[in-house]
Amino acid sequence: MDRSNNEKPVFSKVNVDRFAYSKLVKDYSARIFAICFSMLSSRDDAEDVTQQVFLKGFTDINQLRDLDKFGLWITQIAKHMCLDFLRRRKLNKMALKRIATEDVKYESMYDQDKYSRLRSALMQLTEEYRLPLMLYYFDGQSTKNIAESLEITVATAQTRLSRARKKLRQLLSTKRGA
Amino acid sequence: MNINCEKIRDKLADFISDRIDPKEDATLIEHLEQCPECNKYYNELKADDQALSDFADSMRPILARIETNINEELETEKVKTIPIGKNKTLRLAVAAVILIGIIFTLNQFGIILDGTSTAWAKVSQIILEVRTITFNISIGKGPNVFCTASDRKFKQKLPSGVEAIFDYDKSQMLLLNPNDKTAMNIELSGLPIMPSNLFGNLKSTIEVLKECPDTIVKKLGKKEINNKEAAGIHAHLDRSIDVKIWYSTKDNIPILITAEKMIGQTNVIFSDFNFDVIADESVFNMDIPENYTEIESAKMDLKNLTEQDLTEGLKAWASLMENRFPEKLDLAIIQEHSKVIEQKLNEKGMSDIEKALIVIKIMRSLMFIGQLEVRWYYFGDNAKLGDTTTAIFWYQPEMSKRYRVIYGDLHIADIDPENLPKIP
Repeated sequence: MDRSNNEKPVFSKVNVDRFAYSKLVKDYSARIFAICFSMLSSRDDAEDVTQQVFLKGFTDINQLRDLDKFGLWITQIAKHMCLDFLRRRKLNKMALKRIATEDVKYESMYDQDKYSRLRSALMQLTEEYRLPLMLYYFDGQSTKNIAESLEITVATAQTRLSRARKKLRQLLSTKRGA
Repeated sequence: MNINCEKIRDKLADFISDRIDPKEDATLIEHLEQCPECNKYYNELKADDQALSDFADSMRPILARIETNINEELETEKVKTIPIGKNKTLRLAVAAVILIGIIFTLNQFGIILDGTSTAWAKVSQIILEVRTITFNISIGKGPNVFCTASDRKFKQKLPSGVEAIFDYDKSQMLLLNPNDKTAMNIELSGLPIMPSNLFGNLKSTIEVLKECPDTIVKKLGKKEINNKEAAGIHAHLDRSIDVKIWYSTKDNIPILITAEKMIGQTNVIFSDFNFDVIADESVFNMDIPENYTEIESAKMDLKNLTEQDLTEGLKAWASLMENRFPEKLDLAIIQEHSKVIEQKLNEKGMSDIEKALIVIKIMRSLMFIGQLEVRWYYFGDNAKLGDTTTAIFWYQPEMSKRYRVIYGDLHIADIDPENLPKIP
């Protein structure tokens, strides 16, 4: 009966009302947006999917056993929904990767706002580096948050962040030279 | 750069985030003082850090909007799904493009008018409740234009005396030139349901701002305008609306509204407001006065915009401008080149109706762009009209794997993403 011992009784299931949930949305929206933005490479898509993620979270909140794990749980939902979103574009993985890269490259050419060069460089980073970097800046400049979101140690998060900085610098200086 | 430099640079990235053993600080700082190259690298990393931080900050309004939207959804208790790819800002932008479109038609006749304005908080209710309004508007360095508006009608008078009256219910615009006593009707179709005209748009913009708590509002303090004590509010929403409203501290009535970069880089100023001074709507009478001669009338359809509108507009522009295409595709370009356009049209010795039709063509092409909900790429500088091999515009229609590519001779081809033209 080990398994049943691990399971919390039904009455302790997480049950939050919309006010409590609003607070969770406020606390975690930056993190989820960073993940969606990083995975979808599009601000508008990230905005829409972030909203869907939290609405799904609210509908499914009673599936969460421990409110302390909300961050991890909602992150998982976000990742799944981003993948789902990408899948729905009816493109296979290869085509997706290719088009995503190209879109970003071209987007930066016409979208000449202040951050276009930076955004373009960010999107050229691999996910492994882009995600920690975005999480860090969007979500309270905390490596602990990165570690939690990505389920890695704080030390690993720090290493990835530093490497990401260097990769980004490399991309930005190459672009300038070009 | 020696081996030591490489090691130092490895550590600089950690140093940026304040995550380095303080004992190592001294070694790093010492090296930075001695090595200009590493010092430069360090400054670049610092600049990146700042840029990333600013970039993340620039997304705060989006986060606020997300939170608001979610809370609204939670309140309605119908938490299922919300449509992807349809957000408020975009719809607002499309509406704005259409509105500016109407206004730019007037511009063709030498009438300068534009804008969207907004007020906030205390002043908003006053504007929402008002039935008629008169004010002056000035665009960039342009002259003041006197405007009269009600919800469904709009009239403006230029320093030259030319009057334009726009009646939304009749979908009609009347231009009256008192100098040569001529009148011209422009029939409009496909008008957006909302906003109806500049004043209607002012009201709906205020409603949108009131609904959107992510509008960032700051107080600007007080100053004297036209011998009245005025208090200022600065409101901006994302990058779409940025306005400063100065209103009377006595009765909260707006005195001056400035809208930053309303059209491209151009600022728009609204001033000298008078509320509910028009007794009736006879001022918007669309009948041609007896002593006026009516010249031909033109038609403008604001819907059913297609790729063909884009190519025709590009062609119309290039035909006027020595086969060159516009340097960018947004409605501000007509404003920015209005003098040249007018001059070129006059040089061609065209009738008023022909001139109007050309400007309508250019406008429709820009409106097509404004309504595109997908990314597009434009490199009009690359080619001249007639160039069969150089691509100037492409976009990927929704649900399509291939791109539509327009070339300098304005033929269109379907191209696979891997075969897209190189970015110059």
